[in-house]
Amino acid sequence: MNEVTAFWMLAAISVLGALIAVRKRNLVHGVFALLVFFVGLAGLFLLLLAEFIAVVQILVYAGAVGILILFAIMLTDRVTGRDAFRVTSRGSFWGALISLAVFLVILLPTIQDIPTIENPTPKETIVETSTVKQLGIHLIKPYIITIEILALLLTAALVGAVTAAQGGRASENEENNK
Amino acid sequence: MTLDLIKDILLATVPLLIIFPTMFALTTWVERKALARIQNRIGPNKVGVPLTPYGGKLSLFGLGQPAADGIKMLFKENIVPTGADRLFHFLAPILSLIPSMLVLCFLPLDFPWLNGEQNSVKAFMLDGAVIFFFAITGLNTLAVFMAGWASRNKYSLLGGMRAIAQMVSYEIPLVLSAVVVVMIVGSLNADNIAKAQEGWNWFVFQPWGLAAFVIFFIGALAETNRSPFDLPEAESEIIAGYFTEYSGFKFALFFLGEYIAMFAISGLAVTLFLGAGAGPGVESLSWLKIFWFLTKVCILIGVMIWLRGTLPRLRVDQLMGFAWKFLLPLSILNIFVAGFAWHIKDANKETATSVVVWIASIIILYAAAKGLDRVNRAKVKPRTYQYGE
Amino acid sequence: MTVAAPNYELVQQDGLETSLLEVSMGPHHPSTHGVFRMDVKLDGETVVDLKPVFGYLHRNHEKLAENMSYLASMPFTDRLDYFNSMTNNWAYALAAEQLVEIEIPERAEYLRVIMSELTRLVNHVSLVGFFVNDLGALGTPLLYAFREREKILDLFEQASGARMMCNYFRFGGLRCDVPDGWLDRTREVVDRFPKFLDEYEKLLCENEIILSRTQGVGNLSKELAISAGITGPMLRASGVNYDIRKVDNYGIYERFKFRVPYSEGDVGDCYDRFMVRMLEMRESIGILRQALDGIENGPIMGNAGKVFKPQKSEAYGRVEAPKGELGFYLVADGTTQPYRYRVRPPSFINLTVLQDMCIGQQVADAVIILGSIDIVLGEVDR
Repeated sequence: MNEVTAFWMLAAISVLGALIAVRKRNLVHGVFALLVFFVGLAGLFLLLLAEFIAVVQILVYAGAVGILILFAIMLTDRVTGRDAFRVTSRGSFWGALISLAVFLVILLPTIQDIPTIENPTPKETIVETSTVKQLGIHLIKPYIITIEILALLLTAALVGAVTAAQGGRASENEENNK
Repeated sequence: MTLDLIKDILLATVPLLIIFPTMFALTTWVERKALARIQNRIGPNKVGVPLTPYGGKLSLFGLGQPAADGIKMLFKENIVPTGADRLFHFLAPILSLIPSMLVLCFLPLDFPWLNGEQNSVKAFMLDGAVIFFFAITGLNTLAVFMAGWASRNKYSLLGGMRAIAQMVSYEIPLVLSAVVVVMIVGSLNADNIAKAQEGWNWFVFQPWGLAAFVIFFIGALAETNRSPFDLPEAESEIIAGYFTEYSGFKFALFFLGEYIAMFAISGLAVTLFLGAGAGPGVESLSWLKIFWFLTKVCILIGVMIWLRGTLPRLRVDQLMGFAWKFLLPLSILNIFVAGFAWHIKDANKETATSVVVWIASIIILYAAAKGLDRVNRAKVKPRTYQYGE
Repeated sequence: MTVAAPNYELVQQDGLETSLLEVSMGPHHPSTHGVFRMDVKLDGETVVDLKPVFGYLHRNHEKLAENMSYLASMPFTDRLDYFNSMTNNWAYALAAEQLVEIEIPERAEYLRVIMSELTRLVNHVSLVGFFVNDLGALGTPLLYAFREREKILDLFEQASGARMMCNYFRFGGLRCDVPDGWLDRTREVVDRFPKFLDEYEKLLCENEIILSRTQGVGNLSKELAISAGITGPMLRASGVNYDIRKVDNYGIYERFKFRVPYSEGDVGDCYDRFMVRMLEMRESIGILRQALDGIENGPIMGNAGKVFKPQKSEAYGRVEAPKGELGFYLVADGTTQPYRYRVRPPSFINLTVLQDMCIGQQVADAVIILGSIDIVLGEVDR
């Protein structure tokens, strides 16, 4: 009973946040609405007993991605001007269509796993021990290669970003020296 | 069942809401007194308890000062600058208080009235308590940004930008130094970490633990914007930083949020390195645990106040350099040292081996710190001057 | 000789436009030392352009002085650099004494030197306090500095009746003699002062944070300092050995043995300016000791006559004020009022290089550079 109420509340918050994020003309307000959506999503994960996913949701999305977006807005736009933040809503129809399609694609496979009254648990049973431990074991044992490849990719991205940032500045300096 | 649950939750959370704000009030008084003493002043000593309506009062060394400050804050005018984003200007102080208050729930405070089965009801009994702590503290940054942006003041904006850059940078060494403890204990659960340090097995007494504690404490100073890392609110440069345009109770909320964050992060430092509630007499009297815990927190706060009265402020580039070039490599190395030490000790349980490992890790960490210091140290030294006759 | 102001070039990335943030620091800002304003253009945290704006405290000092008798503007000189009323008085008295020939008694000369050097201590001690305060030390060094300043202000109060606006000098001597026992009390203060300096030097001059915050910040080259007319400790910090006490030997300074500290290189950064002042305080203590040993009883006022009415003439009197060369230029037209009265304020002229020193530095540095110039707005705006 309690969980159902919590679910609906969190779901309402998330959807509301997402809608405001899309519709708000003021970009900074939009980002904060997006953050509300992220936090709501984290709450939903928590409700599913996926603590670790919830915390990563907050840490990565609300903490890091949100700050990154805010930084980008703050550094690229004139922060002092009032009319600086405009979002165009052209092509919103196609946007809606695509997001609906993506939603359906995600929904279809999961819909088969939804617990019903006859079949109350999903296919995999809920594990009793700590999810963090389970996740850690899974990451290190079966998915180790995936993790390593991902790590390599991220490192490459990081090095690339640094080179890109430094390259511009270095050539600039050379020109100045000439 | 539901009523019991509500009762448990109240028993676990209400004490937090009483203890820490009370400690906040006392800390402001202690800070003012201690800073005054450091600065060769007397500090607040007038405000006390009025005895009769016609005069006469109990001064109590100015202990009434926090109450007077609170009342003053409540009655001050709430000023919102023209052109400010009114909604965000209003939300920012609240948002800065919420994460600080929330993370208090993850501290392993063993309240004596939550014995037996209910002992597990720390407000949140989560496996990932430590990582939750960092995730939620990170949300503080958003409040700071909100305040800096919504005020539409250039000092606020500069302060907000400084705060974000600083908080994001120092969060990394902070988390990495906590990782060491998590790795050794094998759990993110605050209770398990506390249990692993029972007796005198505090992690701070290990070489890697000491290094991690020092890094953690420095990171904590930067996270909570305390001197010498108080750049986001550097008075001599950018007035008051992101809360320049705040007055009255909104300012008080920022102030409260900042102090509660100090308590929270000190609490985490105590949990991770200083043995949580461990201390003399805990075995016989279980309520001493909470006493020792809070005492240790207060000692850390005292060190913070002491530093505030002593050190000048760093510059932005020096601050960033310190985090990325010194603390980060050292904390990464520390993880390796701790891992090896723990592995060798686990494989070989003789005392001689552990002593060797102990000494070796001290040498490695010290040499690394010295080397990083030599590489990164600004090329400055005292100069000599000549005299004209 | 002209020295080009350093140019700062914005780093432009392809397709990204950077705009500058204009911040108006002041006129009420915690660390502009009064009603001073810096219009700063910032690229991130870096100062791209800086324009000093002042005049908020303009009081028409010079025109006022031309419309009153010579002596009547003596109290107004107190208000120029309100930290150092004694040296202001002395500079004005020197100028006026050149208009008419007045013999200044021995005791008065000694007391003038004592007052002037005590003033230097007051000024430098508050400067280093404020400077470290600007560095963010939350007032601790400032309050210790003020403790020492307080003792000297007490001495001023005993001698002249006022702590800061002393109005103590007269043309031809001093307004009144110091009270009984004043010299002993002064000696006590002077003897205790080096202890404070030792403590201060030990704690601050080798502090890692202070060193890294001040060294290489706000460089002022020898050439620029000379061509901009910088004087005082700021000039000496840039490596020029120039002290009006040595050059002019006004008063009885030639009787005292003292040295003038100046920088070895010609970097002239904030640390040099800080240290030169610290070292100057020790020399001042030496002068004070010699003066306290040499002073004898006697009259304190020369024969200046009842009415100060100089012949048609002009005079320029200057002293080494704690902040630099303080000069008064007087043109007398034979009446009791000066025809032209002009102040050469060291703070104002030292301030002219602020822009050159700040460009390319961080905004936090701009604050301490301003602090290291040592300005008092009462003198800048007059």
